[in-house]
Amino acid sequence: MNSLNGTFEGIYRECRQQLFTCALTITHCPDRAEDAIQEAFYRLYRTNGRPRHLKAYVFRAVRNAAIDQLRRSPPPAEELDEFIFDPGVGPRDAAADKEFQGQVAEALLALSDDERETIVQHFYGQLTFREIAQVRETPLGTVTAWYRRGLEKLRARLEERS
Amino acid sequence: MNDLETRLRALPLRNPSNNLDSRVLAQRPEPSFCPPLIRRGIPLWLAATAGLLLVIAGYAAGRIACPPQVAGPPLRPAPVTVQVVYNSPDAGDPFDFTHASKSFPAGELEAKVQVQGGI
Repeated sequence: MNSLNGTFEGIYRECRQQLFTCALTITHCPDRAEDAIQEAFYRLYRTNGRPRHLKAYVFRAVRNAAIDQLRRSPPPAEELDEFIFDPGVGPRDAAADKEFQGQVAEALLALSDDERETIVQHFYGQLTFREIAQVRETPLGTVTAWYRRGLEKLRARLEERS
Repeated sequence: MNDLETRLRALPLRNPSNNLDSRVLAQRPEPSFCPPLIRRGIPLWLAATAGLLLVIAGYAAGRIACPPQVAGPPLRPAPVTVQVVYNSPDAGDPFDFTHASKSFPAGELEAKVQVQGGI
């Protein structure tokens, strides 16, 4: 058994929600996002050696597994209602909030894959730009450019809708 | 952080299903009964080198404990002892055989017997 398994398990417990949201951004399907996480941890538990940036390594493993899921079969034809957001209407959910949530989901889906993924990883995956650069194996400058451009498009689209 | 970012962060996220935990944790491999060194994944080259060093060390220890025996000169065969019994008229006692023997080196021996007298 890998000596890091306890560490991977700790990261899973701490970042379960974030990992799921990041995988869902790629697969557009909750079931396949969960399949990706399961597959990623199957591989992680059998990792040899000690990666340098453990958290980024786990997120990268989940991202790669989600991309593999997408390669096996394309995303569902119908877009997911509310995308990565909770579709349940709770008693505390005001109608205005619900509307804003729908608009954000739509605006996110209108972004390029890189911009959307960067915004989700930063806002909802709670990853720093440096960690995102490690996850994506991309220069830091590129990541911040994707984020800035994506956020500007998102803001413009939301202002346009409201 | 501006207002838009604050509002974006506040949006509730879709949750994974309840059985995701059990699915993920089930991926942990079963603990094996391998010795710890094997479990840690010692590289093959390192194991082979260690094995070779052990063999060399064992051989060296054996050489120190039991040095090889140096082969000595070839053993010469035991000389042949021939006892000549004679009844010389000079001998006082015909049964005194104390000087009646002669040693010869090993090998082919040619003997010449001369009978000078009889009883």
